[in-house]
Amino acid sequence: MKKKQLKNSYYRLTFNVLLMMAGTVLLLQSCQKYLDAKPNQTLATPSTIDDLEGILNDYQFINAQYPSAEEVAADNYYLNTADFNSMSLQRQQMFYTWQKDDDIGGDYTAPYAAVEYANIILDALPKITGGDAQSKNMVMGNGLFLRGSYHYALAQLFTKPYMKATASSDLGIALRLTADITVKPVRSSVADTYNSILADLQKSVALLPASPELKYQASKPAAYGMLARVFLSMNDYVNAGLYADSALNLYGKLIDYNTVNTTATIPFLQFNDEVIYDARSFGPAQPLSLAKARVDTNLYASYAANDLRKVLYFKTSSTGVFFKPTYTGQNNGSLFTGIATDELYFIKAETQVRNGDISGGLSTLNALLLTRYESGTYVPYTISDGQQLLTLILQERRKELMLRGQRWTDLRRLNQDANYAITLYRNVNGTIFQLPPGGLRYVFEIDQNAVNISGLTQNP
Amino acid sequence: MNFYAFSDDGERPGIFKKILLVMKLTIVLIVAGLLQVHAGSFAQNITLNRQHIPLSQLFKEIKKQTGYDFLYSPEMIEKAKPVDINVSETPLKEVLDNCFADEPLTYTIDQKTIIVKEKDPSILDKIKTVLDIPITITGHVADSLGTPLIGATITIKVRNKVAITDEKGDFIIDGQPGDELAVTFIGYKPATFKIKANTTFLNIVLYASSGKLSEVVVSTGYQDIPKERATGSFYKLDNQILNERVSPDIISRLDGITSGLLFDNHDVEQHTIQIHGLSTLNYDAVSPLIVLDNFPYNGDLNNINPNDIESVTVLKDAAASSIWGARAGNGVIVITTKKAKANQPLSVSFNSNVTLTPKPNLFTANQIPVSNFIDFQQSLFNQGYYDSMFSDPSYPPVPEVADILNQERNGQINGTQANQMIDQFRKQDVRNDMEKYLYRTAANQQYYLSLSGAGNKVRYLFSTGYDKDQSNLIGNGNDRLTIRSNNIIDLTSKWQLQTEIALTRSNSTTNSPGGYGSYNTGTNTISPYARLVNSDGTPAAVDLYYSKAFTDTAGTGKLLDWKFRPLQDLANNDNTTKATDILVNLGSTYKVFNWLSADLKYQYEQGWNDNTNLQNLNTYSTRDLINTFTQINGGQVTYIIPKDAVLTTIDGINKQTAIRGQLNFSPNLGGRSKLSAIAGGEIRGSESTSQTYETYGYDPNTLATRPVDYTTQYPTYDGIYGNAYIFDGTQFTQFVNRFVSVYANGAYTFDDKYTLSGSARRDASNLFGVSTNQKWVPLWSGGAMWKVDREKFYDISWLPQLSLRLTYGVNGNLAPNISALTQIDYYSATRSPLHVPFVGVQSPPDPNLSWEQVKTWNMGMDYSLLNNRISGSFDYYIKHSDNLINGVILDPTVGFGSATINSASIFSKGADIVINTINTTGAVKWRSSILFNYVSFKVTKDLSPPSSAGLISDGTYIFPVPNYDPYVIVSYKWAGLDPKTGDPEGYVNGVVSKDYEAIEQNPVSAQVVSGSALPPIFGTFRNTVDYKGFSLAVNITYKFNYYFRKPTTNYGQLITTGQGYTDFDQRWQRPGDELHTNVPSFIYPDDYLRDQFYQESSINVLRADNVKLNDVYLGYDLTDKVKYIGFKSLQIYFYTSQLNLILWRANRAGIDPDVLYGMEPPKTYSIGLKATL
Repeated sequence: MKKKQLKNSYYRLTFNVLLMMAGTVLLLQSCQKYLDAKPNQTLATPSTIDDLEGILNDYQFINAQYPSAEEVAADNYYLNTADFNSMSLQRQQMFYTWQKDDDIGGDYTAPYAAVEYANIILDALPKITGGDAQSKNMVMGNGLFLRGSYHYALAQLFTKPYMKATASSDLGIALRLTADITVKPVRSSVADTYNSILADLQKSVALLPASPELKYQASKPAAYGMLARVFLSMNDYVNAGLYADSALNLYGKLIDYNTVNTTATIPFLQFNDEVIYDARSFGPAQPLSLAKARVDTNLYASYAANDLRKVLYFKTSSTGVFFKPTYTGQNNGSLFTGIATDELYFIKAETQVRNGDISGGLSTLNALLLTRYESGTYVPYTISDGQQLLTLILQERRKELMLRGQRWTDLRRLNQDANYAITLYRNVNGTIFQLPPGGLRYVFEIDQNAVNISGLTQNP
Repeated sequence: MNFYAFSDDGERPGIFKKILLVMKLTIVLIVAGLLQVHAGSFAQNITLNRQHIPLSQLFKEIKKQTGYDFLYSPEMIEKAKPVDINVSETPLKEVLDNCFADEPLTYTIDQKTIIVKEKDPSILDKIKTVLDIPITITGHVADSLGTPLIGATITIKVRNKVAITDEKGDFIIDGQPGDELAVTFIGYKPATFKIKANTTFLNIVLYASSGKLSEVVVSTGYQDIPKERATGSFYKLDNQILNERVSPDIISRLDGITSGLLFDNHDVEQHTIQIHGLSTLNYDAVSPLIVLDNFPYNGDLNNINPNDIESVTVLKDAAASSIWGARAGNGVIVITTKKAKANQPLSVSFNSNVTLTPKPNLFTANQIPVSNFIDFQQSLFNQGYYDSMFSDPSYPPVPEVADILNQERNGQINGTQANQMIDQFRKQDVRNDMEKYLYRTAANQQYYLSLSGAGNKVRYLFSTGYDKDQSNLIGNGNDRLTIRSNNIIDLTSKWQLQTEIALTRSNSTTNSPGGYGSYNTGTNTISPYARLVNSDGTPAAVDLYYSKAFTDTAGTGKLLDWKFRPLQDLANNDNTTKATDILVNLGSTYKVFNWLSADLKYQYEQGWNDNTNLQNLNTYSTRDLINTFTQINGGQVTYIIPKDAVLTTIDGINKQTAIRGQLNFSPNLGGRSKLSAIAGGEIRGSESTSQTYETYGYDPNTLATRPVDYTTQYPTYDGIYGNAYIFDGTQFTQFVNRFVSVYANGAYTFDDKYTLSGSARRDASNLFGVSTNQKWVPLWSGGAMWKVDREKFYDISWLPQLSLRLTYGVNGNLAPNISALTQIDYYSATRSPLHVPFVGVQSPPDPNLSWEQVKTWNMGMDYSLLNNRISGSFDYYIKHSDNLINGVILDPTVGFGSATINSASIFSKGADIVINTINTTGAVKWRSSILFNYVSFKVTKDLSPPSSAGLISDGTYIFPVPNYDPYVIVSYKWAGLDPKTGDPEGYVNGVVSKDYEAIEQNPVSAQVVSGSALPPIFGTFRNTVDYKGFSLAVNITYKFNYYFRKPTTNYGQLITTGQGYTDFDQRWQRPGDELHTNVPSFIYPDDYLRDQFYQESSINVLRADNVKLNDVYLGYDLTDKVKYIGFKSLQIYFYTSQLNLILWRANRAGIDPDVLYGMEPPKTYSIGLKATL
């Protein structure tokens, strides 16, 4: 009897041990699943088309990473000595006075960050299964559009302007076409830079929706508009004109400025009717503060009294004439860098004239300006001299595109034409700084870390 | 002294011979004392059994057996008592020691001669010998770790005397020389001692009886290991020393009294605890793992009542901590709560104290003097700095001085009026008002009651504690109730069940608008001359967010008042947090065989945190929010946000479940071999979720709410923020951490002398990487210990206890929130300017990511000497921390300016020395404990810096240059001030220069490298003195060989934020000033490189070395006086901390390196009472 009990307890023990072993095996198998839980419900790796669409909705990193140094260094405004001295960021003073400075900051890093986002999307897309073709096209189109647009913005600061003769030997930007941070950046040529920009934008056209319903996402007219802008900067007036026209054919609304409240602090809303694609600079640059940047006196004087832009773009106080917020709808000096119909009208008008269609150019200009003047007071221009009309269009273009970052590119391209080349001056407390046409400082220094870490060639 | 050579022939030597002999003996004694080279000469053994034989007879017997001669004077022998002897094969030395023990004699051995001498009797001995009165013996009983054993029984059987050790392990008993004194304590091997004529104090060490319930143990959280057989480096703090401090939490009690542990406060932003220096560079993962009763503790450490803590064990080396695997890289702190004890009648203890902390002295804060600041603002105004502010459409606050000067400029007031108003400001200091209206004396009350006892099969402990804390800041405070029940039930003789349930409830209130230093928006700081109350006593407005001109006129009376008044907020804030935490531990131990037991442990913890922040219409934030969205069209006022209170609630729940199965082996290998091993597996998961809701238009009286439209953009008042959406505070979070581990650990001991140990563990967690394969990480350790003193050949008599340890192990470290793939975050629509849900990219892909690994060698030694009067340990370690995940600066062209990747390695080495001494015994018992810690580390690899050019460091971020301490302070070399301009000067290529841009590019070789911002040498000198029931503990801490950068005014920062320091007053103003100051002249416009050069120059680096008296504990034991009314013990105590009393410091600037910014923390004073019934 006793022996039997002993035996029983032995069996029981064996059974227990077996049970435990079986349990362990089961446990380890279920462990795999147990460990697959996400540590943070709001954290993931991009694995669905929704994730990528979500990244495109990250406005700050997708739409608002454009540089602003090009406006800081341009000639639409000036600072008085007190405001110049109050600047806490020295680099902004350097930009303002066209000094060499490789502590470039966000004007270099922000656009490249957006390029990386675009590359993350473009790299992830082929690995994603599921999702409808339309969404995939939209995501890919946006990725390409963003990469092209930001590469273009970088080229305006860090390379010489596109000049056909020297483009293949001039130093371009480091093109980033992969999200892999271990791939070392290399500077390309200006020709390669623009080829890549054009390739990305042209590829995006086919993938993007025809109408700009969500203005923070790219659309066909946005891509056409961006292409028009790029070709204009390359002095390729045929293509610039074609793309501007294509864009306006898909979306060409203009705002009648008579309908805009001239007393409002912020006269224009974000995503207003003229906006095809909304984008802005990464932050309001200190010199462009709406309380500091004073409008160039001659420029302000060039607006006619019945030109509504004079009151909608500027406010006057006892201490000077200051800017009002632009198409960003933000109450600060951040730049609107997106695509709007008014800019396309000007590209169209300019290229029409340059391509010999003087009457076409004239009517395009008049159509736009009609919406800019007090109702019933606008007298349409009647100019038949191409050169004279071109000069007028370029003047009106400058007056239209306040705080849009376009003046810098215009200066760079127009300086190539002796008729329009000008020297810029700054006066800081009696010290005069100047920037002659084709001056070295039309090309900014690239970031010192890019030189130190990747060995990229610094601009002269 | 007359010496006679004793020999069988009885021949008397002559005088000459005698002198020679004395000389020879002297030399021999000296040599013998120095060399102690008699190990071989004692091999002679004696066997003898005689009762009551005279010494002369004994000497003859010994000579017969060993051939040793005796040298003595006959007078000596006459005084000697006869001896009893019963030995067999006993070494000569032992026989002699025993025989001479009760004799007034001693001996030395010279080759084959035993020289017998008289002991030098003390006067006391002489009296005692004459009178034969009983002597009083005091003593101290401790375990082998030095932990006092409370309640040990001391008996002298022949006299029927019994004594019990008290709270400190001390006892007093009367006896007579020759009596046998026995010490017994459950779980320990009993020990007996013979009372000798000169015995007054006995320091008794009891060793654990192996395999019994409560051995002298260190706890790893997985098992309790007898220190005797532990190869690893442990430091244990017992209940007594922990209780000599008063604080509402347990962790702060470890500061300064724990070997190898540094509380690093050098970075104002982030305070950390480091065990054996730094093992990681990742600040998120720098903290040691905290284990509470077997499982990692996830809850709020403030939920643990320190009165419930039995001991804290710090696992310092890899062998000690590797059982915790992937989380042990930074060391482990194991907190063990009090458990029910066996064989104990009902015992009730009570502890209560009150701690008072006076108001802090705000004037100890380093701040630019008011009058200087006003001058400074005047000069800025004259330079036009403020001009754009007056027309800025975002209405930034304009400093009051600038406002007055502007009024003067505009002709609204005249110069005299302006000067009068400004002079009034010069007399004001906001710190006066802050001290008066924001601060008070803090009072913390602590009450604790525990009941414990044991029946036949059940042991129980029940405790409850209540803490009430009134903070220094008026409006802030909290209270906490803790209830704990611990039961151990022997279900059968083989099966034991352990249960523990702990409940914590706390309420905290945070209604203070903030103290000194809080009124700071990043671009604006409260004026040092501001007032918090108006002259009529009403709360005064502070222009922190908008200009006075704006808040005076905005809305022309149609808006709510838009002024920010700190004291109005204080009166109206209603922000409370209620927290409840439940912890359930269930354990079952089944003894399958004598050599095998199985443990099953289960833990469940759940905490609820409910925060309610009700901001009524009188609080600034509510008024500000409503005004921002108010629309005024002519006379029509439209409130987009309802004109009522805003209620924000956050409900958080965290849960942790853990199950562990473990087998414990202790097979009987027979002979002198011992093996103990454990193996087990564990699954642990924690989850925390939170929900935040923001409710507008809330009426606390009716609980009614009114909806707002989150989806429409509204214009903000005067377009301050353009068009904006109403902030939707609704937010959900969920975090899930899961771990699966298997582990094994074993120790083999041979002959109680040699121990080998090993441990291995594999961990997996859902935190890491993506493929499960990558998640598993194997980690291991091995160790050896040698009890040298137990060797036969060991004979260092002044060092009776010595053991050596050697361990090596590999531990891991988790870097939370890092992944090998692109990581994205999901954000809700409310965070988007577009009002659409979006996805943010958190980090770029890093296919090469792996775990951090910490490989540690530890060599240790435990010793005790001079009859345990001195004991302690010595540990030396070297550590290689590899694959450290660290931020690396990238070429921003790749799209990220930095990335966190496996990039760095650190090599560290260090030593811990622990010396415990008993300095005096008797009536005044003085004990000291000296902790000495040395640690130094350097970066051995870092991918980050492309060049060391231009790198400087103030020790708060990592200096990533190989061969430097990661927290080294590196500065620009200082060349003084330019005597003409007061410009600071440095060097470029060895030439004095003011080209700050070039100076900024200096390579490290041209910079001044001071040393670490962390003290490589630190420790404690702790003294405890007991006298007549008084007990005084004084803690002196020291930190050596480290540096700090003193706060200096950065002119750029002073201009933009208004923050500056006292050195502004000493700035260079005219030629000649450079002779007595190093503070550069103030220039405008500001040159930030010039500012940076001065701030980061070597002139501002000072040695931080200091010796401080930080806390003092004084206890008085009243037990004797209250024993008769039933108390087992009663003590009152007084404790004071944060004394910050600097006994010595290296810097002459009078700066306390622990208080660089902000004000000195006020001292605290506690008084309390402890009783046992």
